[in-house]
Amino acid sequence: MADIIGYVREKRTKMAIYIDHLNYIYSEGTAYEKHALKDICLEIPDGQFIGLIGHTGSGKSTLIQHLNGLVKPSNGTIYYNGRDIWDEDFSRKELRTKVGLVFQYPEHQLFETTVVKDVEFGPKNMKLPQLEVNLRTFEAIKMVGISEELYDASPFELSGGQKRRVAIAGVLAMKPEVLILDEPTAGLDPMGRDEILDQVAKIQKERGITVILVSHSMEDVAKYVDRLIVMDHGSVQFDGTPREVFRHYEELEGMGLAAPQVTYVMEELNRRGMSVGEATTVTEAKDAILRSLK
Amino acid sequence: MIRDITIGQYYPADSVLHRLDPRVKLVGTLAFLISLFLFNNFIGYVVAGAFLATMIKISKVPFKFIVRGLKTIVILMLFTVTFNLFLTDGQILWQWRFIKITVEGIELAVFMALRLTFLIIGSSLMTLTTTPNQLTDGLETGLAPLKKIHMPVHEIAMMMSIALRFIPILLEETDKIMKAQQARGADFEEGKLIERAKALVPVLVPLFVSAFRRANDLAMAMEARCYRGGDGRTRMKPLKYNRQDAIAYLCLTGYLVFVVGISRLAEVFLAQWLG
Repeated sequence: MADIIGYVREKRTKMAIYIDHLNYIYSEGTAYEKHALKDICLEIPDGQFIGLIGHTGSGKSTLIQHLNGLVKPSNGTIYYNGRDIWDEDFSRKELRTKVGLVFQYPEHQLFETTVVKDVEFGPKNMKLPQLEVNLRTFEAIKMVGISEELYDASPFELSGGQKRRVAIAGVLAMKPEVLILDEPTAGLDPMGRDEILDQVAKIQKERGITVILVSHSMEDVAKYVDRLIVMDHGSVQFDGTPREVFRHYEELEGMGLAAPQVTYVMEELNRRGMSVGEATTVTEAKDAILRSLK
Repeated sequence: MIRDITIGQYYPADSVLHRLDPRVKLVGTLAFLISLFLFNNFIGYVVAGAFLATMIKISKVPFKFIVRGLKTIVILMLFTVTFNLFLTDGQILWQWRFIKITVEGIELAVFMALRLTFLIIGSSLMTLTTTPNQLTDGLETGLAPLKKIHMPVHEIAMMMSIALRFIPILLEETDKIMKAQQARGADFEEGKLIERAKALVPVLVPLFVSAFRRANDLAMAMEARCYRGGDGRTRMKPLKYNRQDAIAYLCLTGYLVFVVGISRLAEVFLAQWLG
């Protein structure tokens, strides 16, 4: 018995985030009561690139707000590096600097007079020495690809895409170990979307951090992530590699989601007698088709 | 924290009170509030309390939910009760320098507390059972005669409904921005008063920006649909009185006559009995 407890504890310690039977009920005891999260159990190890997919109202935004202690679970526990984040002596303020959360439309939270000052807000709240604050700020701004002449511009004068990048830099400057982005590409044009996702992928590789990318578009995420978690009506429906998850494309459609278009093409080719196998991205599909034609 | 504010909130339920014409509810609430000042004895409060209790029962709104609205006036209530209790002249029961408790003081304090409670519960019962849209519709039709003296009734009603509609939106927005800044290490709970006030800047600036943006968007959307004020505007659901509204008006008149009559009678009897 002691062995089992020891094993579980060790497993939890190694896990960056461990979610244990998490439930969340909105406005409990009123007419607006809603069971938003139902018995969620997830393990999120260090360094993974995860896509969290679900339809509007499936509970994905609520789930990620639990991960940095902004919302308190109705019941269930969340462990960060083996410690219950709602323990009395656990500092959730510190947790929030380690689990960086970029909200949906993050450009709506900009408030400072210049880009640099706004990005500084996070590291300054961490009470770091000024030199460290400056270093982190400039590193983060550079990382998201904001050019130098905009450093002292008002964030309100920038374009939509630039504003969003400044907001993301504001979280990156805290150097989080886990970076969560809630629909970072909502409302951007295809080019802006690819740029932001490419940058996130690059940062994930360079810093070796865990990234959780929330989206309702399979197409966006399939290319980047190692693991896909699909949510529907407040519970986890699928959890696996993109390829494993897309095999369930019929069920996904039932949830108002869809596998990437290329999955359907491959499926149809297979059905018509051309054995091309599976593919989740266009490049993979191209290679697979060429291979089968040889 | 922000979700605790219940004033002006609507509680969806299927009850007679919810289905009543908003004009009836507006007039009814006004009549009830005025009635509270028409009597000054215990019997009147019992009748008013019983009337209110019946209305709450009919409305199907949980009592717990209504009481929550009272939290906001606790301080005001304490003030009035203390002042009335200690500073009223009359038959002295206890005295220490200029502070004294009198029979009249106790009576007044209790009556004022009851009156305030009834006022708040009565008016929040109206907003709990009427959607903001119905409320402004009722107000607009109810005040229509004032158009004759060039009162911009439609504009006032429109402004009111927009303001009411924006309350939950801005509350939600505040909640979101606060969370977003907390995610960047902001702290709203700790620190001295000045620090806490300063901590609100990162919330207020984005909130104002977003309020203006929303107002702009709304104005644009209204223009795009050729909104040009109330003249010649028709309604999808015009307000119409029906049987239950007539019954409600009758009940209301009944209550008013009864509460005034019985408290007058009580006063006369009391005067005779004492005299």
